[in-house]
Amino acid sequence: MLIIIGLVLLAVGAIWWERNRRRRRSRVAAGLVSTDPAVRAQALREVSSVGLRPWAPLLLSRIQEVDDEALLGELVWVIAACQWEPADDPSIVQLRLWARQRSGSDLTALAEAAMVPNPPATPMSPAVTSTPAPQPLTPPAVPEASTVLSSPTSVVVTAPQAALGAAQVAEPAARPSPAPASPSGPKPALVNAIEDALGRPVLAVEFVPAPRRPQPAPHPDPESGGSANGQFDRVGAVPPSRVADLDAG
Amino acid sequence: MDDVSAKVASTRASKGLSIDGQGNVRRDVAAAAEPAAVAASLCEFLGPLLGVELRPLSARAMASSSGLVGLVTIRADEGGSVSFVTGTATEASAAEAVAIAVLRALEVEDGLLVAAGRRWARHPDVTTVTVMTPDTSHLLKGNAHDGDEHWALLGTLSGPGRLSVRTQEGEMLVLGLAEVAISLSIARSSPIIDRVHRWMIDVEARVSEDLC
Repeated sequence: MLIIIGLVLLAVGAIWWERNRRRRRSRVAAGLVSTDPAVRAQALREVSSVGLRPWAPLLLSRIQEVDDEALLGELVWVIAACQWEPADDPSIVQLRLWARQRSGSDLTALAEAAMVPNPPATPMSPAVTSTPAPQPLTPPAVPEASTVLSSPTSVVVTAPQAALGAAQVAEPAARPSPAPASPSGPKPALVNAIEDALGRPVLAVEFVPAPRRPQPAPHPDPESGGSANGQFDRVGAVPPSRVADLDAG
Repeated sequence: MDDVSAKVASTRASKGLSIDGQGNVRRDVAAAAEPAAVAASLCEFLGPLLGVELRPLSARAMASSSGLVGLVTIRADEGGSVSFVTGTATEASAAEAVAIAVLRALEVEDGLLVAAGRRWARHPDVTTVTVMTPDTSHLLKGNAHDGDEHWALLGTLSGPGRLSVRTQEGEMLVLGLAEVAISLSIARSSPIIDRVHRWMIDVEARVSEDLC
């Protein structure tokens, strides 16, 4: 007997839930085509919180038949606000492609548009933002492979292969700090170049060249006057031989 | 090469993912690759470089009149702040469409250094961020004077590599690839200096070997 009562209650609940859902969808559908901006905004807000899927056919027909710029802007807005919804329905894809084409920007720009507080008649909050909260990056912990010889105004040039290998495999380690000041001596050329560039003294300089790897033969570009392999023209400010000197020194 | 190095090299090679001299994600994606696998490998590759834990929720390609439309939805967990990003792209092959859709979703289509630079720029201790190509300089954060200093600093590099300069005011870190460079000015003694430094090492380690 209890089982029968339970089943009846479940059936009543299911019927109630389905009727409620249909009524809600009908109300939203009616709201979407309403001429009253406030009603329309309420409907759009509901769509943005539920997702495009239930009303995708209606929205597709709306984008075909509506020619009012304000109404089209609202549709773009609600499509952008529903970017959290998985794009596994052709109708949703069509809506997004339309919105993208109409706005002339990508989905990110649409998401930003969705965060504008006053798109339709009343403000709405997008369900999800596409911009994560500010957070420091947390790259894999790798040590600094170079050996710092820094004194005030010192230069370190380390073996690139060692740096690469250690970057991939070694355990985390703190970055070395500059050593205490050493007896004064002639400044390395790179330090002079940097101080000239900045127009002020520097306390420590460390340069680790990229690992040397096999690369194709250079093709000089006489038009640009740039470096042979398309690298920075200004990179040539310090000839490679100077780095070698520093390394040796 | 020890076991760990061999494993790292093998993993990188098998995925065919690297960073080229312009800071773009370089991929040798087989046209027949499964969209889900393409999205997963790209997320695994890019997540550590962007400081975000990425997990593709859906990745599929659908036929359309203009080609195959790649659709991806990715869950991004950044220090507990979860967001969902989506991307679409139309290409000739499903794998390429999904790959580009992932890059668009993560905003790295214009280059990894720009995307990462924007993230670093959000940190209060980072005062200036500049991304430079051989003939342009994009100031992502800071004032023009500091941007000029970064440009001047770049001129002192003898080639690709990492440069750090400590001054009384703070520290300037530069990562130069073959055709693009990023430079950051950071307040002195900030804990983020180490993180930026390690990030630069990590990016440099992923530069494709024939383009460095």
